[in-house]
Amino acid sequence: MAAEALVVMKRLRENPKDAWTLDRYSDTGGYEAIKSVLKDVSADDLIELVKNSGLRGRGGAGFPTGMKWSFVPKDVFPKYVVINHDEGEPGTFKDRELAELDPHQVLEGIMIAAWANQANKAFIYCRGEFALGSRRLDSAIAECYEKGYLGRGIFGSKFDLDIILHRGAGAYICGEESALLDSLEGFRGQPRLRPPFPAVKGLYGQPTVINNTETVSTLPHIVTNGVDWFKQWGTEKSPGTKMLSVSGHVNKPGNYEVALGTKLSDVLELAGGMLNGNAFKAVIPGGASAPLLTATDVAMDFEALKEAGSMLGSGAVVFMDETTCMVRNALVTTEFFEHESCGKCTPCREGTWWAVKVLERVEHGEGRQEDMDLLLDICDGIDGRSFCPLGDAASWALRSNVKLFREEFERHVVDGACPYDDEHGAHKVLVGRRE
Amino acid sequence: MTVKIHKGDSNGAPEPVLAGETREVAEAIAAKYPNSRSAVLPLLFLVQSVEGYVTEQGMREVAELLDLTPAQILASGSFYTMLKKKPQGEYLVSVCRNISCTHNGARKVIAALEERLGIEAGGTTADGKFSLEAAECLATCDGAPSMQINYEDFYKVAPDKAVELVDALAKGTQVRSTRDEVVKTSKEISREVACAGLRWAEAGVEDARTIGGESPMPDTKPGFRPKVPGKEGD
Amino acid sequence: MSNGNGGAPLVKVTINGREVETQKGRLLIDIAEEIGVFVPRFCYHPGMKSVAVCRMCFVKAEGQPKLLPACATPVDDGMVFDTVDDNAVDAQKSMLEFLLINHPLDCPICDRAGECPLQDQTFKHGPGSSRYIEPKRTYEKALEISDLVVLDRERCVLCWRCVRFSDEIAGDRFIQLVDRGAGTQILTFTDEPFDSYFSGNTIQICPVGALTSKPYRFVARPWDLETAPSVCTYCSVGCPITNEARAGKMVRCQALPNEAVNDFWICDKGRYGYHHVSSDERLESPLARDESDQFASVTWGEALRRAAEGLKDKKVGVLAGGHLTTEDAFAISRFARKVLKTSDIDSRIQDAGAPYEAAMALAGVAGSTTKIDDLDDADDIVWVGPDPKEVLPVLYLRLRKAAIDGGARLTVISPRMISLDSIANRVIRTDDPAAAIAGLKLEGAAVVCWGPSAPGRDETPTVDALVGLASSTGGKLLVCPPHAGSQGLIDMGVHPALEPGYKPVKERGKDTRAILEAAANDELDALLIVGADPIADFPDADLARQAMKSKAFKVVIELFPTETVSHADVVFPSAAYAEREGTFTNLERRLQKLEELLPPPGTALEPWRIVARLANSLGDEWKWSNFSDVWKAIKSEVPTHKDVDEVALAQDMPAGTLHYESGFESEAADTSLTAIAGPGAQYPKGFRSGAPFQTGQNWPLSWELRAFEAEQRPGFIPAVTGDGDEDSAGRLAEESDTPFVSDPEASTEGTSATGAGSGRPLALYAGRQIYDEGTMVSKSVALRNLQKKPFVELNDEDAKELGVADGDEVVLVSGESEARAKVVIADITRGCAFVPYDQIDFRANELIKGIDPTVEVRPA
Ligand SMILES: Cc1cc2nc3c(=O)[nH]c(=O)nc-3n(C[C@H](O)[C@H](O)[C@H](O)COP(=O)(O)O)c2cc1C
Ligand code: SF4
Ligand code: FES
Repeated sequence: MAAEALVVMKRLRENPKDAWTLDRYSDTGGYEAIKSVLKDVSADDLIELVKNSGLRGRGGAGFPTGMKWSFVPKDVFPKYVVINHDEGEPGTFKDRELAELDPHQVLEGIMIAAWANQANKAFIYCRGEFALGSRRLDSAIAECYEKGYLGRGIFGSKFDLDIILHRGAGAYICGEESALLDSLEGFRGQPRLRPPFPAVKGLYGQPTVINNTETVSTLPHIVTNGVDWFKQWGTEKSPGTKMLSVSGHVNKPGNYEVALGTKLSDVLELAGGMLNGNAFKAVIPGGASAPLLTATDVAMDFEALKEAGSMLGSGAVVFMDETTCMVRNALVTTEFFEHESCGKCTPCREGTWWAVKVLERVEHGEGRQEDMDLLLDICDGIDGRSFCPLGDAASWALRSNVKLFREEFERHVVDGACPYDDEHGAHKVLVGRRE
Repeated sequence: MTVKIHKGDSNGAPEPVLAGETREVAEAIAAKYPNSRSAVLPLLFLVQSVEGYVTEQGMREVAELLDLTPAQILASGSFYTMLKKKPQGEYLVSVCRNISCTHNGARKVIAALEERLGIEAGGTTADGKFSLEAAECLATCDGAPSMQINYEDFYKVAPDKAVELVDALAKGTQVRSTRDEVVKTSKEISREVACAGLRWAEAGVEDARTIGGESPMPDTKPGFRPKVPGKEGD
Repeated sequence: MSNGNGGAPLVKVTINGREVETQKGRLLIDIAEEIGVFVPRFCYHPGMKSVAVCRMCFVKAEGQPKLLPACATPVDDGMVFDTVDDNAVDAQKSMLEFLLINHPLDCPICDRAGECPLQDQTFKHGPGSSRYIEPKRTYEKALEISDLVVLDRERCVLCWRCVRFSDEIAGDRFIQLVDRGAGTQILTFTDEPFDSYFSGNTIQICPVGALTSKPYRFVARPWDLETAPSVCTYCSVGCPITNEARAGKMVRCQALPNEAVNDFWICDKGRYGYHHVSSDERLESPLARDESDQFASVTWGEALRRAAEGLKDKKVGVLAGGHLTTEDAFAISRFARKVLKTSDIDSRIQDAGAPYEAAMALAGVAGSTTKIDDLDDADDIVWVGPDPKEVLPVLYLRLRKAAIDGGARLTVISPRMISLDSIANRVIRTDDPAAAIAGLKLEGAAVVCWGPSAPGRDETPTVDALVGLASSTGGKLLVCPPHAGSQGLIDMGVHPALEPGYKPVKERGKDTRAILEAAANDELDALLIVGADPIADFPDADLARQAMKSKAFKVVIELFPTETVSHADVVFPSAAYAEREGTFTNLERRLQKLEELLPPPGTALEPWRIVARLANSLGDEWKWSNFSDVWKAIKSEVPTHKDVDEVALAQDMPAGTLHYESGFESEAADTSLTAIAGPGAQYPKGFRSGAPFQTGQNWPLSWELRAFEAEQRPGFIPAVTGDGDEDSAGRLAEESDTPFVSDPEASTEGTSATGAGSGRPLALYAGRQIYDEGTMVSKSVALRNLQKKPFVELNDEDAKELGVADGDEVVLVSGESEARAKVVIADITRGCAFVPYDQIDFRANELIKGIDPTVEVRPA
């Protein structure tokens, strides 16, 4: 029987009512990790520790966190730590829950990251649409300043730290770390040409570490319990636990924290199985960017999913049952990327726009036989050629829909209409209409 | 200047937008960051909290405040969906149109609201009370179909439930989100976004401390730590 | 960009099987181009940082899974590239198809058609038919975003070149990217036009017809154009350009790149100031007075006879204007000394009395001892002179680049705020520059720049102080005379104290002022005036007018019937710069060649020919029949020029207008000799462009971040940093003794005590604006409309004491002369008033009386 492995979600599961208050946080061991670190762990030792833990970024790219930190030049000041709390990957809602229900855990993680990288200023780039999360973070920060946990000489040490809360304004691309920096600097949120990498020249041209909310939330636990404890979960290359945001056609959608490497089928079981017993059709294992899978006998870790031709990404798992029209699914997904494309590079900007036009036709029964190949050509035109991974992702998602469900696309063309009786009303609203 | 080179996205009142107390807040926001350039988005939210959307006049004033050109402000502001280019309703209803929600009936909700409000998604009611939008993933997929009213979350909203909420707001009744937060007006919430993290901003730019740099205490290095573990060193 | 890594180690890379040696860190796209391998591109431009957004330049790199954009791939030793790899070519095809789905096919009415990279690319490897059957994206067509530039967003391929140019190079951030995704577009703020002195460059570098030139719109098809390389005739920077004509009329002027001079840019004055050439107001035949003292056109023989009569064995003063070529200058100087036997000769009109000869104390030359591109490597730059953005626009771009990219520490000394202040590390606001200069210390490689900045004011102490500073610190001197020909005229001895080659004359002759005074007092029998309009230009209009009205016999050589011409006895029509072979000597004393595009109107001739004919008719046989005859003489008579190879100066025609960066014709063209740089332009090959912004690591830095850092000068750049590009900032942060401050108060040093309140009149400073009533530029309607309304800059305290406020109309009084202007409260030293020099209905030189003029300001 599948079981969860609660680390970052432990507190909020056990105290759903008040996990977010400072009192509850403190009397459940909160801020002990940072205190001990400030007392007797040097920045370099701390980086070593995180390296050894094998912790990998939870934001999507899965880059080893300790290694990322070690790229930061030691002698250049000021340095910055920026927390990526822009959570926009469709299907993902883990960072939101961490900030809303356990904001102090996030702050303590930030403090540890700031110490390790000798940064005296940290920024939280909070997704604009997150009203409650922002409120909780804001008051948590305020409490910390009052208590002397933030500001000058935190926890009585001589280390200064300020945390600046910054709200996004509605742009998925700002989750991409370099676009996030441009956005934070007040520019259009468009990805930067790399190198130089943010670790060398990031915010305001200074060395900058960018980490995801879940990633930093893990830090206090690694510091307190050590590397071996952390490695009891997961695989050799993907140690530890991971929050999975499970949604779609399941009975108990929600966040589940499991050991990396847990079978997808077990995750489905945790989520209460397919909605009203319908048959499983397809699953997105790692957010809208990840190619579809049509089987659940795969381990949920970075390597295994890569093997399976998809990716763990942000850990958003969306199950789809037999009632789902995959042309509609492709359209909804591609529309998203078209809407969120920053417009900087040609293939993503024009390719997604074109693909949406073709998909609309097909979905509305005006498709042509050659459209399926055209769609695949558009994917090839984008894949590996866009400036940042958003374009690639759009092509991966679309390609997997067309490849895995080609006959379904063709039926739309032959029938001249969508074959699905529209039980979810997916066809009700014409495409393209938004804000 | 009055000459119009081309038709703008919006037209603003000629009288100052960031005046009096708002102007002070604006300056505080600009002072919040190591470089005031970072204040562009918050300040545009502040403009929105006064005007209801981002007006040309507002952009001009932000430009003047940050010593940038209005064109630069337009470039940044026009990039983001939460910064509105045209007048908005007092309540912005955003229904998620992305995968999980669409596959769980979100579009029935949109359809119901379109009917109730007599507008298409993307529109604003004539009385300026409501705007409706089909939004991208709101990170509430566990509550699909989900929606926000002025960015407060509503989980598992059936079409009739959505219509009820709108009716309540139309009547002027207070509405609380699934997380029990009170739904604010769009101007109020814009103000809140603009001022996020402002409370302790002064601490962030206190000039005794160099930006991101070392503690002002003479005996400390950047990110000082005791040389002898456990004991306060110098 | 400037070759930031010239010093980088040499590495070997292989491109399409050919091994090349080059500096590590240079961009693949440049190296390939230099060996004749053209990688298609839209967003990349050698003059700007890479952004790699169009994704057109993909190439295959051995051992790399993904294709690499050549424009953002710095090479390293042993790298092996294939630019015609199947996947790479397939990528290019995809990008073209993507770009075309939303590109209107209105080529037949597009100015760019025929010189359009997109068109050429498509022709070469574009899809035969479109697979895109949906409606295209549409925008409101042709927006006039300024008086010179028209924007068609439907044609735009979003290469960002225009935006990058305005952000990165010019610093005029009026044109930006707006909206997002497929809706992204180039736009100005709704009511803020694209008012940049450099806006025309964005048209030239636009790879499609999205940005077009208002004056040139629908005027010509590229294949109908005749083109000749030339040199801009306006200021002393001497930007290389191409002149282009259709049906015998000059219709376009574009920049020719030369990274030692103008990089890739010219200013809008140079670009749009050509209308005078084909103006029908031009003088077409010689004129002489008939019995009723009216002008009548006469034969050359007759005109020459009359002129000779009037000059023979007379006391003659000779004045020459700043737009004459080196050859003209030599002829005039030779004629004065050899034939007229006088040293009463001068070419400094507006800059009358400017002590260029003082520079000789440094290296024996009355001019610069350094080159423009030395600015890039300078550690310290001192600017004492006019506002370069108004007077020497492209030099302003070079100074900006030196300060922002090169990290030079820029010190600006000026009585009023000028464009450089915003990027300066140190601003000294004073009306006593000599004193301020005395207080300076320079570090490392220093360049000290000076140009005459205030007509009518004696700048000798300033120049002496600068020369002293330079020699004491081993610094170099950049002397910036105003006009395209100014330096050549000095070199050739059109100067009362210097013979050709800076040989001091035994006995100093009269300078411009003395000549005019002498004429006014009937102490001269005759005046020979070549290409000069003293009444409009000399900083004392009354004096000039008296001289012109005097009894003296006046021979004038001119393009147009100027006020001076109206007082002449004999007039000879002169050929314009686009109608002749010749050379200009720019402010760094670089000789550059003008080639002939059009025949002169009527019987007009080059001034040197006219002067030679005068000499002949005065009995001195000059056997000059062409350009090289003149040069034979120059080389034998002017020591400094004896080794010049005038043949090597020749600029070949760029391979016609059908030669663009599209690379479509690049196989045809001999790419081994030239590289392609923008529509209609090629330039000599050599190390150039693409070299990374010095981040301490050899990589191009995204321009967003760069522009951001640029914006921070002199504002916040962290002092403590390991990065080279921020060193200068680091230094200046440590500066305690020198006031580097952006706020004028603190930056004001040595402010003079004199204030308007003291009842005394204000010191009058006048300065040229980029667009003025100059004889040539005023013929360009487009530019004439851009002139400023008359204004006077006052210090706010002076204004208070005078009881006037910003925007008030005031009367400026000096002697009998009066003028009206609007008050502009400005950052200007107390006791000083600044006015534009030569604008519609406002001739500052009418107010200027004598040396160091003053003016009274009265509320109107
Ligand atoms: C298009 C795009 C969107 C992204 N969105 C997010 C996001 O919403 N949140 C996030 O943490 N990382 C996101 N990422 C990943 C970030 O670029 C970056 O890898 C991550 O924040 C680094 O933090 P980590 O190492 O702790 O994961 C996104 C990446 C791309 C290419
Ligand atoms: S792929 Fe290109 S257009 Fe798309 S988001 Fe990334 S940079 Fe922008
Ligand atoms: S991406 Fe290289 S030229 Fe545009």
